[in-house]
Amino acid sequence: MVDPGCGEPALGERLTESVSVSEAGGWRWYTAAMVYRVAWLLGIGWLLASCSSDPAQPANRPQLIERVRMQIGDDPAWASPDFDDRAWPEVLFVDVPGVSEAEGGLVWLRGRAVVTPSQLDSGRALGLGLSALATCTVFWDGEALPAGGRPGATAEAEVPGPIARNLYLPDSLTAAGEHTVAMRCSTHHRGFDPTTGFWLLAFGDLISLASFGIWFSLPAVVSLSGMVIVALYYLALFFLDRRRLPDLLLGAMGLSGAALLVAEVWRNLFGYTYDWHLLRLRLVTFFAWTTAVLLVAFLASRFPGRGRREFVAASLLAATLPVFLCRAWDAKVLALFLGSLSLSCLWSLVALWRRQEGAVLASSGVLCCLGILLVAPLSFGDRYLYLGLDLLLIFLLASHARQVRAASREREKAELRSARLELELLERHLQPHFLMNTLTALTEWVDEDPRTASRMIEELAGELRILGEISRRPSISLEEELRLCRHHLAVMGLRKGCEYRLVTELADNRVEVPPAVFHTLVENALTHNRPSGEEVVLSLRQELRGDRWQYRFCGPYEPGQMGPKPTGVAEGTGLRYVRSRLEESFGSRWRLSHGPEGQAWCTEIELPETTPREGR
Amino acid sequence: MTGARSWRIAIVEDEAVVARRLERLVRRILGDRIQQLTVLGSLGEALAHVRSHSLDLLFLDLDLHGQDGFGVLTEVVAESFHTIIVSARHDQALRAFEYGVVDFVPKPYGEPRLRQALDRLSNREDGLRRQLRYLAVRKANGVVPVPVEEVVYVSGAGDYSELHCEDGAVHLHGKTLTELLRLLPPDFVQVHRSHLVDLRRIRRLHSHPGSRYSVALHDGAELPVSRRRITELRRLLA
Repeated sequence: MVDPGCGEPALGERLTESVSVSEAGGWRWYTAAMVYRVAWLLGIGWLLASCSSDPAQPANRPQLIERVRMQIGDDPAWASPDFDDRAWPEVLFVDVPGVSEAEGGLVWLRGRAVVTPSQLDSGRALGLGLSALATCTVFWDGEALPAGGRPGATAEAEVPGPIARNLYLPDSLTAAGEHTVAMRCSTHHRGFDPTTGFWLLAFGDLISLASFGIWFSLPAVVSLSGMVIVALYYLALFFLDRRRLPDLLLGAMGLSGAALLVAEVWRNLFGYTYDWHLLRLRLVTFFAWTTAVLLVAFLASRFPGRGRREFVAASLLAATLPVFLCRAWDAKVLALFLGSLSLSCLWSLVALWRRQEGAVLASSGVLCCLGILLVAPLSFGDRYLYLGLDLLLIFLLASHARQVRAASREREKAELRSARLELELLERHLQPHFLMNTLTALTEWVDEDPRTASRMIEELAGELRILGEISRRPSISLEEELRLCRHHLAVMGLRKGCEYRLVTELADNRVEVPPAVFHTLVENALTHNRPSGEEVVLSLRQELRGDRWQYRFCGPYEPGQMGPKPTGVAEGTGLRYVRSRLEESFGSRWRLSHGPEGQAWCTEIELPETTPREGR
Repeated sequence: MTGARSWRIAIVEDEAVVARRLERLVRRILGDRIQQLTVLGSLGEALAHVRSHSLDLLFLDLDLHGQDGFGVLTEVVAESFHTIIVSARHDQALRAFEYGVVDFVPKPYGEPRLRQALDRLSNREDGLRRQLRYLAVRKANGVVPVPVEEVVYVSGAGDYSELHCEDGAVHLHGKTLTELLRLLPPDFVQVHRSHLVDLRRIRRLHSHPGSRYSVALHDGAELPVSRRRITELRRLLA
């Protein structure tokens, strides 16, 4: 079923075939599955949109402790609510720096939290939420809350604590009014110097605090499954047909995107001690890089064209340079995506301009992705990246669906064309015109020479029998074809009152050729020629030149009288049949030329050495 | 075939065996009434033959498919001789009749069918004549078909005929009045030695002193009526 000239059959179809349903049913099944998947992904988009609002009720919204007083050093008295910290400098919590061993190794932070009566009335357990690249012991009005890990003045002394924690405050500690939050922190296991290492200190009901991170990760988690399914789908397509490189790249991109998501949600869903954070950032950057590069590779292989190398090289550069040039990890990812997405966008727009199939949907997807990045650059890495990737995949899926449909239409068309050729073959030879003329000559032989009449009947029957046998086959051996030609020549000779002789010079008569091609050439030669003598000679030569079969067929030709005029009606349909047959069998890998050569009209056909395709 | 008329016939057929059959059968049917019988391989040869020899009847194997065949058909029906198409293209019979061939003999055929075709030349058969829709006339720039519906009356002019049309135009046709009468629909009647009139176009019949008669036509023309044809005409007009 491979038609080398008309594009390969779509894999989706093979997939449906392997589900062993009827072809039409398979197509419907496929469409339904596709629609389901797209709808599912759209559902994710909706969820994402709804998640961007704060999940906590306004009354229960955690209260951020944004400003703290800071002091490097260590003194147990600093935990007390009674300690006067007014001499300490006040800083934003997010601006608190890391403290090296040389500086003393420990930093104290003090802030205020206000318990309101409504918080007490809600009946929910209250707590402190802390998220920082640090190990901290938290004191609530001087009371130590177990927070995991142990701060230390040196790296050896410090036991790294979790990167995010929610600390429960027993009711006994939460009377209405102001309370003191003091923290003793060390940061020896960061492994790098982040722009900010203290992200969040909040006070509120524990459920809101806990759900904060989960809500934050939900879009990523939901996207994850969709992305994995799509990735596996494309990988399956690739493994069914190894020639489809774009499918492999798209599948790999989906998996890489999924890995990126896993790296992202790892923190909020599973947590880890903060010394693992650097590894996670490296993973996030790595998977962001692979995702961006695979997207580029996919677009390059899906939309080939001039300048592809330059596009890939520039995109690689744009994706790789930020990894080394940008200091902040967020900036690395952002810049990497910005660069590669901009170039991808450019390339898909070029594909659009080149009117490449599927370019509209692909460029829409990439544009959406880039648009989201530009609109919300700061939250892109955390949240909107998934939305972008999802949208991109949705568009690519839709593009793929269109491609599958186009391929299925192409196949239907090819089937129709084959059916039409079959019909044309039979029609042209079993047409009343041919039969009636033959029967007219036959009646004459019956009257005049019954012996010849009976020979003519045999020849005619031979021709019709072979035609009937071969009409449904995509190819027949040259030997069979020549047998058909000889029957036809015998019949025509008895009609026209002369002897037609077909002289052949063959290299291999077992070679397969499309049916009735030479038969049609023979017919043409006879239609446009009135025998001038007793014997008329036609010739066919076959030879192998390189990996191509060369056929040269010559028939008699009288210039200016009844020669085959290219505009002639009969020759037109005959040659059209020949060309259609060759195209059906060999795609574009054939050549036909013809013209007068002295007293002959010669047709040369060049075919590939391979046999015409079997089956439809 | 009637009378002692002798026939000059040409057969155009490019298949030798088929041509041989047609020639054999025609000879058997017409016998010694054939003055001349020529078999030609192509229409080009036939038309050249007509230029140098006069002809009464042409058997033509014609594929009307496409412009060429159509052109050839109008070409031959404009000539003075009658044409019988012998063809394997049965679906083209109607079209051939519309243009005024005497008969269309479908291949394959036997002697009886050929005899019937030759008989048609002498007997007017209404069923056949109704199908004529055009009369091909030769003009300086080629042959043009004149719709029979537009012809009001036809006048004899020696070896030719004049077709008088409703728009006042007069076309010269290669066939004689007698030959045209074989082809034209039954509405055309001969009112005079040199006039055929479409009955539907007669407004009234005038009688003049001295037993002379004439018909007045809707377009104002007035044509003489022979005395021996008046009774028949009255019957047809009643």
